[in-house]
Amino acid sequence: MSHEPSRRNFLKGATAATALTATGCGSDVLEAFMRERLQELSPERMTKVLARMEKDYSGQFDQEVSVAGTPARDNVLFGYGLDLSRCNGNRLCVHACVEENNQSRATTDGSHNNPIEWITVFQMDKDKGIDLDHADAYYEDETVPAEGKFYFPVQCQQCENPPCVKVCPVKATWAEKDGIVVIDYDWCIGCRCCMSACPYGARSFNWCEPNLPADEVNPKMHVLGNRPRKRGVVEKCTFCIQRTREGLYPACHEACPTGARVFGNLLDPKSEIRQLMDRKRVFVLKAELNTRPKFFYFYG
Amino acid sequence: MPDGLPDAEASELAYPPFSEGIFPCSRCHEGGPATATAAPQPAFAHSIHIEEGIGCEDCHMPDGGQDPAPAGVEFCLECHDAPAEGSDGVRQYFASIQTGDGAYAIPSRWASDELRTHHPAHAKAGVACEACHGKPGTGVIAKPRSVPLMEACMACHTERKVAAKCETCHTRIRDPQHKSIALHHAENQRDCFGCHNPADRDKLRLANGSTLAFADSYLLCGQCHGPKLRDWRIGLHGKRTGEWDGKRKYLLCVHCHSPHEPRIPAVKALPRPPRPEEIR
Repeated sequence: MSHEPSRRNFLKGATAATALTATGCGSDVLEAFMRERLQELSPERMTKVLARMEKDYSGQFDQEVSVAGTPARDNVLFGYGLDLSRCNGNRLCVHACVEENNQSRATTDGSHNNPIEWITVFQMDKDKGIDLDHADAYYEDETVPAEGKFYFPVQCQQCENPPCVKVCPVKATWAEKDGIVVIDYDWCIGCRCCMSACPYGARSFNWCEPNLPADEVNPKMHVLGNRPRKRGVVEKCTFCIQRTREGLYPACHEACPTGARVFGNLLDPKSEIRQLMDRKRVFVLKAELNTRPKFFYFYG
Repeated sequence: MPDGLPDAEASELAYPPFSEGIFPCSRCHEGGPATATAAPQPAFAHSIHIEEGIGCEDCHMPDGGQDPAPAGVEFCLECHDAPAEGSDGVRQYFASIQTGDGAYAIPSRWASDELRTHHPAHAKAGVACEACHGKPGTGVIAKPRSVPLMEACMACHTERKVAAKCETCHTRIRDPQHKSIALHHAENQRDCFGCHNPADRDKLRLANGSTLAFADSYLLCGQCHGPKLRDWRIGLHGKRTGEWDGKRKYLLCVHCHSPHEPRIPAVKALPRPPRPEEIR
């Protein structure tokens, strides 16, 4: 049995007492273990859970880690815009996202080659238009943009009507008040129903223990966002919940050198995203599925 | 914060990548305001001395052409030897031009830190002071630390067949002839002065002739690219950093687009994700 008990291991055990004896852990571990879903936690319990996580992660990564539980602000509904005429396929957003959100990385010696990326940039033919059947996420051109190609980044569309949430058998994923679809990594059982339900391929599964070197950890974490995941859970883009709930732009927005990305509060008439909705023709990916994404593509 | 931008009170424009504050064009080009870069104007009237029949060399090179700097306050006091002759004024003047290390902010052996004009060598070769500094008393010399136009230097150097390597005179060479600039920006319709201001090189010029600071260059770009300027103002073109509901920093057009070659160059993409068959 591993040192850090997982919920599944715990349930496998006959009684709580057996588990306690086997792991030799104190009552706070048991509490973290037996806790309700994050959605249901009272503020006092949430404070305790966050403190416990901070302690654990600080020890695990040998540095001071903060885990915020910042709730959604009132009158905020996040929306994202992406200008397809300006994206040049440089993938800076992809890698900025990995660094910000503590995803698993590939090792240089090849021992771990299951990196997780929340943004996929598809290369498409200008001749064919937006056609996912002919999209290539593995392009390796000498320089981008390549002749006759355009680029189409896809990440979680933060649907108003999210099929992933509907199919989760344990209610481990839900949409927050500000529109961000989040996952309780401790509640996820890894069944991957949400992954098959998502029409955008926006969710990733930790097939193996994530590789997150301590010197590459982003210590500013959010309990629903970039805190480290374990093997066997699903993860996805959260519009950088740890940044956006503090008022900052998401990491992909900051990283984009072409300024193709637009982010803001859909309920604020002065925000950039609302200016986009008011002035430009926008479209959503796979509109026919009625998922109602809050991720809007446009040609600027 | 310029007008016409949303949340003007909370945000700021990023500093332009090049502007008068870093390396003013008037350092090389005439046409800039004389006071823009010149050292504080000393209260010294060349014209009065000229009228009195005193030549440049009488004060600037009394030791036979070694150093253009007057020997200092004692030198002037030889003539201005009494309060009635202005000795108090001389003392005040030297106090006002004294720099931190006790030296005086007046011409020295080398013209400046960046332009190594050897004054004694020029004097020895018989180059008159006026050849570079204009005629004293006419106002042309009123910029004691001004850099002469390079064309004047080169005309003389060519005529006298003097070695003319750049490094001989310039300690810092920043593409003085702008050879690195390739104008690919409607180059058939206009030239440098379509944007730059020939009358004041530290400023830009709008189509209607009015001058514009480099920091406001987006207004110049917007003369032709109106829809882009409109989109930039509302945050749909260009890049902003900072907070989505608070203090933002607006990048200018020229942060991303070289004004001389505005097309964004092709770049190398970061590594691709592994293909499914490559995952271990």
